[in-house]
Amino acid sequence: MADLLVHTASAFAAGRPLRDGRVRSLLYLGVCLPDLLYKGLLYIGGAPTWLCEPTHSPLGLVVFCYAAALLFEEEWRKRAFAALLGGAYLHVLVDLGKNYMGSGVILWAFPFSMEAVELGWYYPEDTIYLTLPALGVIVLLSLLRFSARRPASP
Amino acid sequence: MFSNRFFRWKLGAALATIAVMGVYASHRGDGINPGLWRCVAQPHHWNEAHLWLPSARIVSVRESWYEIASGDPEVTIRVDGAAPGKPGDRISWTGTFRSDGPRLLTEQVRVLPPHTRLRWLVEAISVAVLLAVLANLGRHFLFRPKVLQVEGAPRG
Repeated sequence: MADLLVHTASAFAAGRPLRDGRVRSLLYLGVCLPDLLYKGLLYIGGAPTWLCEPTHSPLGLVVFCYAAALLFEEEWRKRAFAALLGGAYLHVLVDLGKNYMGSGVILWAFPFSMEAVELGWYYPEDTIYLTLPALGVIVLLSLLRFSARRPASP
Repeated sequence: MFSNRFFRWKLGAALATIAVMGVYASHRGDGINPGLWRCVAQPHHWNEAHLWLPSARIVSVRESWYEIASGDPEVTIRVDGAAPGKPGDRISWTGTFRSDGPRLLTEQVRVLPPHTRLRWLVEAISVAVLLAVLANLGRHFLFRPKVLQVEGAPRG
């Protein structure tokens, strides 16, 4: 849960074309889901680190999001699954840019391979520099949405 | 796949798959990047193991080696080569564990910048963001019988 503000800002930007607020709210949850599951298993469940790694792998996330989607009412499950998985993949894409000194961050082909990949664009602690820009993106997009929803004054 | 048919079986299968994935990842990953304390406890077993220490503290500095403390439980170990910083500095390190000593051979090392200490602030913001996201989700999906009753009640 290191930088959920940045992840949520990315979901705000990606979810802007979505008209349904409910789908957007699921996308925002989806973008938080990998870290929520990882930290939940690690700190609340006391699980070893490797047990938590499928929460950040593309195939692993399909199962997590499917299980989460089943908790919604029947007619909403497909949309819930798509929005949660879309958000979770967005999270993984942003995390992929991290630099863990060559150790890798995403098990891209789990369970077929344990190879972890990274793009090495930024160090994990550098996300603090993105806090204010991310907040700016969220506020700006919220204002744009709010102004678009307001009826024009006579 | 998303219908109510065999709902319990589907949910059970999904949860079982999640459990199997976790156990499998734990089993396959056991030998990858082991904890420093495990290497020190069984040095011959982990000889030549590749390690990544995301955060370690420089404890002392000598001319051709230095000591670092890392992990939970915290373990102190010697690292060959010139120190990248002074005692008290925090570093991120990758390299190889050698059972003779035991000691570490550096591949890459960097001193962590001072703003790494603001990690707690980022974590606190993340918790606030998560609560807001959950509140937003609840606003859209939570069942509120009182609201329905009021909306459906005849006026007058």
